[in-house]
Amino acid sequence: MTSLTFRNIRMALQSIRGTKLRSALTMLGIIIGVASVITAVSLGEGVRRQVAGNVAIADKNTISVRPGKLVNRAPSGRITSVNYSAALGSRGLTDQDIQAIAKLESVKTALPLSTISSLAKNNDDKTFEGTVIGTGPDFQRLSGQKVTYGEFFTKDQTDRDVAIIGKTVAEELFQENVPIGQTVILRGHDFTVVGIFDTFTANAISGGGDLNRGIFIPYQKAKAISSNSASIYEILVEPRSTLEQAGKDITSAMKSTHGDQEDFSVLTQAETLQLAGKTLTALTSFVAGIAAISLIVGGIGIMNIMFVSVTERTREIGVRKSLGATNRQIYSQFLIEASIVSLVGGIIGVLVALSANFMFTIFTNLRPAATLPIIAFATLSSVAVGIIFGTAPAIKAARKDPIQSLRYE
Amino acid sequence: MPARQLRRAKARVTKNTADSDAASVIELTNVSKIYGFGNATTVALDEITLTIKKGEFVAIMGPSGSGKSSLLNVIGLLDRPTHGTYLLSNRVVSRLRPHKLAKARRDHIGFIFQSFNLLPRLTALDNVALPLAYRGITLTKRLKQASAALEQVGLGPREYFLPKNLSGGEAQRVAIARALIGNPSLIIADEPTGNLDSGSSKVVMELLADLHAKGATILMVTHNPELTRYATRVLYMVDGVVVHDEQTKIGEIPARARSGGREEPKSDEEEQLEGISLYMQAIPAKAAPGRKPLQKKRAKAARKPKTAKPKTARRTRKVQ
Repeated sequence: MTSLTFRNIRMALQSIRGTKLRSALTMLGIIIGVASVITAVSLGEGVRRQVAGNVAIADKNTISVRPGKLVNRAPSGRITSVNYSAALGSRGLTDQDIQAIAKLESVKTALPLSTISSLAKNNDDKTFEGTVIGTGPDFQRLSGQKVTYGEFFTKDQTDRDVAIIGKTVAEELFQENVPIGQTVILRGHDFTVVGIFDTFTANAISGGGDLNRGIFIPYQKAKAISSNSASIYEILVEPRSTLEQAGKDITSAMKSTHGDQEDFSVLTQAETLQLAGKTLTALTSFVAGIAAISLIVGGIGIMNIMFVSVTERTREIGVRKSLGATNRQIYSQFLIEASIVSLVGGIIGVLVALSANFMFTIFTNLRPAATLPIIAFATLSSVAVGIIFGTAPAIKAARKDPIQSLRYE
Repeated sequence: MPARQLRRAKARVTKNTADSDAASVIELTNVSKIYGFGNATTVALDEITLTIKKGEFVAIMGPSGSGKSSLLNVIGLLDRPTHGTYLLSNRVVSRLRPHKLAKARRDHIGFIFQSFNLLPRLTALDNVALPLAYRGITLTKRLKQASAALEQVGLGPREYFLPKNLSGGEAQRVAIARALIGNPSLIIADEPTGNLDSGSSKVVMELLADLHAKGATILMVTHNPELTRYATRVLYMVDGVVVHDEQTKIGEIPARARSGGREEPKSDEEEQLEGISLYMQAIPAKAAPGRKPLQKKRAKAARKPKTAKPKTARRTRKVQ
């Protein structure tokens, strides 16, 4: 039996080689199906990982305080439902909140993240549309982001006109890699560039926007140049005690400053990640579902061609039967042929998906992650498609009457 | 062992002792094959009883529609008889299930067809090795055997040729190699020289005669009386019945074969007429392409007046 299966595989390869163009066109459906499923899923997985490393504006051991009641919790603290639109109507966070949190026994650092709207200019009046972020000296430590050139501002420099810029800013505004010492003008104030961040991996959720286009200045300065209109979109808290204890303390402290209204969210990084993950999973499976339809269409293509092939090879089937092939052997021959077409299509599809992912990595800041389970699953499902859609033609082949088949022209 | 099987085994033993002179390969008892039902019933084989012994070279002759093909299909296990018993090498095979039938075919029968029926995408070697694959023999073993079989039919140097690159005679010799490779109990040849020129025919027939001399049992259908000279026995069939069964010597053409199997002596006129009708029968197959244009012309001629008519009608209307 093993030698028979091996013979069938050999036969199938011979037959595929014999009808190259047709087999290639048949495979195309499977190739597109598998490639799109893998690309969709690996993009989703990639974004999820980026979010993980990044919402995660890094340290897992921190707490984010955000405006708006984003989640409902059960008494145990478990998140029961999510409401993203809550952020829209709520009032932002204030200096009061920062002070209230910073005062707490269980809190080590409370770091504001605020934005002001401003065009950035250089000395030659060249403009750049970036995100101006006012923050504290602990930002670099808590974000874990490396400063490639220069240094982040220190505690003593919070009253100075200094800026640390993202890589894109360096490249587009100054057209050089290390514009340290150059001047960037924000709302008419000159800031000296003292550091350039390493590339931030894509930033799908956190704060919104691409941090590579960020210009980081001290929070005090941001307030000063925007006449106190710097809105705080997040307070990053480094706890002194456990995350749970700090979370509870922050919630109660914030409630008292907000007039007992819980119009804010206190989320650990793990929870933020979980929220982002939930949405992404839903989105990814939606896109993958659409891609899977093309896999099914590819399967129908295989079925079509196999039916044609069975009819065309009626005489061959007759000859094989006259030589002693059982119905079962004919059946498995055609089934294996269909499976091989789809398996080869699947493998090519994987290669196409991997090169598509590579393109994404080069030309966008998305980092698709085609994990082994995804690839294995897609390849197996391509074989499954071949088996499912190859069955009907194989049955048709097996049931052919040898006498009629031998007469077939 | 269940009682039924035991009884069968006993029957087999008694059978063997009964036919002491030579083992019979094929024993048909009252075998009928009936197609269709009701008014459309066709009796292809009518209660045929026939025994073929090991080492016989049997030629079957008869006009088309006489049931030769049906007989071959039944004996070759491609079809099951409607009634009757068929013993192949002392085993009842007339009521086997399809997959058992296929296995019996695989182990006992070798086919040679008029149109060769080699698989076009396989080399000569792979074609010859194919029957062994269905027996589950390993690749190296079957290629080795196939190579030997090709050597036997004198096509050793053509091993890696595809069928399309072989001449008709060579293709049929490959088919013979394929038929004999499994060492079958019976080789069935359905007009093996029907598509060959006389030179290739001779080579193919000599090969079959050679196999026969080495002990093979061969059953051949032919329209060509000349070929009965290779046979040891000639059957004549008409309307699903074996009307005559004659032992002949190798090298002799029985007079009956020359006359197409008819018994009564004929006048010259009758013979001439039959010759003409045989000739006419032969024409359609070979001269078909030549006849087509004639048909087309006729069709055109038939079409012309049809298309012409409306035209004239229109013209006359215009004139008016």
